Amino acid sequence: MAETASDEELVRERFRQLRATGDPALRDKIIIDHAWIPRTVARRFDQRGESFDDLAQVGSLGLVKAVDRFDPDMGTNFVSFAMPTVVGEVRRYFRDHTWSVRVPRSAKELKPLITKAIEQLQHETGRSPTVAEIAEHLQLDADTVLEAMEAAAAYRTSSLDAPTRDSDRSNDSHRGLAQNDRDLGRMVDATAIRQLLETLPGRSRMILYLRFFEHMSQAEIAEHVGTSQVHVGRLLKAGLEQLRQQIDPDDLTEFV
Amino acid sequence: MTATNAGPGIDVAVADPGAVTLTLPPLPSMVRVGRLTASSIASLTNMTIDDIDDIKIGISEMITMLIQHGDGSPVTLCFEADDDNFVVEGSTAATRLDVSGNDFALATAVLEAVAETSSVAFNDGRIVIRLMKAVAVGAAER
Amino acid sequence: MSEGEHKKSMEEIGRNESIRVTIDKGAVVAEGDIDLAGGPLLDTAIMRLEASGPVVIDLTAVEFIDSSGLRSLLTASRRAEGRNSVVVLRNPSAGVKRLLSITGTADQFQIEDGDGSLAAGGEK
Repeated sequence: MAETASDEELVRERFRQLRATGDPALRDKIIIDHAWIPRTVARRFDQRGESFDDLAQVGSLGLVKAVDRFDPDMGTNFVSFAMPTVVGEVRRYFRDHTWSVRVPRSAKELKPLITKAIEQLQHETGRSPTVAEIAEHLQLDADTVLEAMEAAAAYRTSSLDAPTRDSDRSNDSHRGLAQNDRDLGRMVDATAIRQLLETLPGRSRMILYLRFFEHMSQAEIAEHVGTSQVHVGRLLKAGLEQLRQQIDPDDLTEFV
Repeated sequence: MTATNAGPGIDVAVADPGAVTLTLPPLPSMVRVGRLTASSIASLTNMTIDDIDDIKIGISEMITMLIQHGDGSPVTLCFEADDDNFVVEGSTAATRLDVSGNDFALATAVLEAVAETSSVAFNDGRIVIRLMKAVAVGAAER
Repeated sequence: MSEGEHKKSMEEIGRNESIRVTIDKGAVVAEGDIDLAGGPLLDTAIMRLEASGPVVIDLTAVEFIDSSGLRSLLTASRRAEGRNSVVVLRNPSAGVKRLLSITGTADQFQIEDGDGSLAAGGEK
């Protein structure tokens, strides 16, 4: 569905109007007019077993980004501009293993590993190890090891403070999504999470992906996926809960 | 940069950053800042973690003494570290140095125990405390 | 909220950049560093518990202690002696034990190690 030269100029004109007025209805129209781009890209990537819908969703995220970024006076036409962005989004989603639910290697996680490493190295060398030796042993960089060893128990407690045992754990709405996010962030193994994410049904998976990988707010996700924010909240909570239940306690070093 | 063979299969380049100077307000919360700086610098020398722990104790004693006996002026710490040695000199302005208290005796005893050499002096209105620790794991090993 | 006496199982005494001190099941629990900044909070907690006999100080999560921190412990120990009681140091780390042995003060306390064993006096 190529655009003729006059089509291109029309599109550029619309963009100029959009930049001038910020009209959301106009923005939507431009997006809908170009919805064929993410669909085309999704079709191209679809053979690898991902669902077409998912890919199209992800691709349309790229489209939206392109719409928001495109400068009509730069001389390019919009389709040429948007295509790489859309392809990039889908590729990123694909890189499978980078649903990096940003798992920070917190000091609390590392400490037991470091303790074990020290014991082992002490046994091997007959003396206490150096920071560099510990780092080498754990395949971490020395700064990370040093920081973990120096991390203050007081700091860790205050930043990871969860509701006490007395609070009602089933009343998750009370804790808010931020707390759930922190819980998720404390899980150890990003690979395990990726595998778990794949067990979720498409919609939930998409929403969790958008939340943790694209760092979108619930409102943004709702707009993107085409549903209400309340529904997104519910799906996020349900998805997180499902993940929580499936996690093998042995895979975790620390979990509320 | 010098290279040190720190053990089987590990070659570590030891940084020689020259002098690192830290100026701290004389507050209790700053003692920990001094410890963290000291341990970071000490870890550049590739000394063992036990020795780094000793340095943390020594620095802690040093800064605490300077805060308690100083006149409220900032505490200055000057670190020098290379392959063989870790040296830190801490100082602050003071009107006098009272060496009679139990606290002082305890702190200096600990300082002496954790360092190869240490000294506490009062000159020209400044208390100056020095601590030197030898790097045990270094070119000499293996 | 409840009828009669109701002991809270855990109560936070305070926290700052160096230390967090709580009282949990009748023991003072310290987390972090016992130094010039951390000592005072520890003192407060110890004085809370003192009236009721031996003072148990859980040091499992204590990363660091220096002579000023030791001072808090020694003061508590002296006061305990005064009422014929004792200060118990629970689960001191190697670093804590090192300070006790450097200063020769291990025998001022009762040491309760992780495996539940008791020993008066430290190691050297």
